Amino acid sequence: MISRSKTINVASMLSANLALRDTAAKFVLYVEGLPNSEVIVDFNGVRTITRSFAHEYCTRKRDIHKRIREKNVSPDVAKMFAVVTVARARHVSHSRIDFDGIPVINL
Amino acid sequence: MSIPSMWPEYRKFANLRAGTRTTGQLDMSDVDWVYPTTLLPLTGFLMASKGSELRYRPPSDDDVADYIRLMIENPSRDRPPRKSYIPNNFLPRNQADAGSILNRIMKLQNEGRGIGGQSALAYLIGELTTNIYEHSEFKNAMVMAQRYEKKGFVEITFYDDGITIPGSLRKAGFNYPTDLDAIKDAANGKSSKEALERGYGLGTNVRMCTDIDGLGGKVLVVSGRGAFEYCLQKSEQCLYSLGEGFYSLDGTLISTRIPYPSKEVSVYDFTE
Repeated sequence: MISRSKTINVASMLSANLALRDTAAKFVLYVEGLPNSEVIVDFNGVRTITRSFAHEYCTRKRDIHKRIREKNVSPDVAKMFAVVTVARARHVSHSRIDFDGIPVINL
Repeated sequence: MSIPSMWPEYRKFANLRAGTRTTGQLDMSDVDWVYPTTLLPLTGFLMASKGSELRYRPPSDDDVADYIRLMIENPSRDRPPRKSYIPNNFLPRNQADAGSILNRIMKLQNEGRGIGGQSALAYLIGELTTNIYEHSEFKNAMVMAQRYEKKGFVEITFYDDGITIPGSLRKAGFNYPTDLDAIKDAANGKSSKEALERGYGLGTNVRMCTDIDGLGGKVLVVSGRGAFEYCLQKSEQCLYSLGEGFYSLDGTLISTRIPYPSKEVSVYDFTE
């Protein structure tokens, strides 16, 4: 008999530092393939997350038909999820690097 | 302590490469020191030259010669790491397999202590490595980090022999009069991927590495026929339009020098 809910510790399964976009994509694909109707993604032990990982995780998660909940999300990881969620909603423009006035050296 | 420019280190690579074209010999006998900014594109060049019977003249200094031999000749992922550097880390073809390399860089650099903290270092290496996989179509790609405590900086370098930043943007349908224009646009968020939330990696890291509220370091980007070196001091910022051949690069090199030790910075100040 398959239990309704399954908990996965993402730090144990992947890494304490969640970095690569493709890793996030494969992780959500794995979650999608689980037979359980609900998956709890436990972020206990996750120390850092890149914007690319957070974005891919959120985007892929939104597109699958399974209940996914997160727990033990640290404030820093939560901030990155908030960054990508807000940016997705509003497409926030980011600060620019000012190249004006820098001399061009032709070599 | 002011951090020296990285352009002379790239120029060193360009000179060595030019020498091989005229003499058929990689003559490193005058090289007394080599940074990742020189070493990684040089390694890439040697890999591309395999089978061409290039002769090699090692540096006169035995220590430097040993160091270069260690880096270039035997780029094994299994070699035990020494204290302050990691060998050239060749990125595996499969992005999902790269996590262990990034974790090793984190570990060897004390999880970012003294280099802006854990989040900043993980963000830097994670995002720029992701960019390599997402955009470059590389055959060979490498990441290397080395701490120079006495010199007061850490150098972290990313290299790939792929289609270049301008090549990636042009392939996606964007037109630029010069490669430099494309590189500047990429640093300000242009991405070959059309989705929202793309194109942040390079610009965010340039700002985090150079800003007064960030790490206050320097970033050198060389890709195709364009390059820039960016830092806080306007007088030290440079844009380069590179002719075909001597200075141009068949690939992309991104090098950062971060003051060591550096205070902890929040990546969220730069990600909005």
